[in-house]
Amino acid sequence: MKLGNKRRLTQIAAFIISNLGFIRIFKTGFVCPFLYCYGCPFAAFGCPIGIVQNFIIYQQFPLFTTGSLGIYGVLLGRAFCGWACPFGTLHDILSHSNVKRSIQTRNHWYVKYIILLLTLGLAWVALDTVFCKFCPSGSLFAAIPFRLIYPEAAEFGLFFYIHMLTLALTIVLALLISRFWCRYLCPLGAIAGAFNKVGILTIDWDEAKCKKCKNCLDVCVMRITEMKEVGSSTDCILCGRCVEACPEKALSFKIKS
Amino acid sequence: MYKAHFKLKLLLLVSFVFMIALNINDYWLIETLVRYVCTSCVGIG
Repeated sequence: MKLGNKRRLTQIAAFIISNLGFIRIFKTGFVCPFLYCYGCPFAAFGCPIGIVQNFIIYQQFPLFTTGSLGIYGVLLGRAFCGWACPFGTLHDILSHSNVKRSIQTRNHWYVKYIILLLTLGLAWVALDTVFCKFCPSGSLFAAIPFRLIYPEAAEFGLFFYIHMLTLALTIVLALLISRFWCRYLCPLGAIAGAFNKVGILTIDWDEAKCKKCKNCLDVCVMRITEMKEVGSSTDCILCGRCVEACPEKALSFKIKS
Repeated sequence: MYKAHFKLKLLLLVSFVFMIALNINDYWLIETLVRYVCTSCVGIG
């Protein structure tokens, strides 16, 4: 089976598993390794960013969540973004045809780290899950399904319209810029990206085999611009598109010791 | 060098496992959060 098909199957499986909470006993206390909103009526796991904010509000250090994210990160780095995240999957669908036309620059990559700090800081100051009020993943996977399932539960107020606005903006930008949210704004991507440096899974580049055709960089949805950054950059989501695109088989997934 | 890297990663992994094991009670708090509606997430508060 082609790597691309394996990735699509994994993304579908991750979406189904994330929604197993529609069977009550599958609503668990585990945190998922990607941005999937636990406000979704069917969510089976907690969103790490939402859970961390709640622990900050309770004035507790989120050690369980930190440990979980640490294990996910050390084992697979940012591969969950490329292979499992439902919001990343939406971006893959939206930017399917625009990867080569997408903005090549990696300027402003640091914005997601600012968003992460703001998320944690605002939870501390406001004692509220402020990021969740704007999160477009929450808009899509929680706000809309909640209104569809419980139409009588609440009126369509300001916060709902803010959700719709952030979702609409993200969709428009994702149509123009491949993996827009993952590249520039995702606070969980900021955390997971740091683990690419120490993660066990990586993409290995065999310089001797490489003919410098740059097919790999052309298909990169995260628009990585340097060969040496493939697999180790904090932006690499280890999706394997570059591995598929290489005619010389100079790139391959590798378990690094 | 590689052995040292491997040991460091193993140490990191073990410390994360300990972090979870020592705070296993958080599981129930997270489960409660997952079971109840997050008002911020669904846009009602």
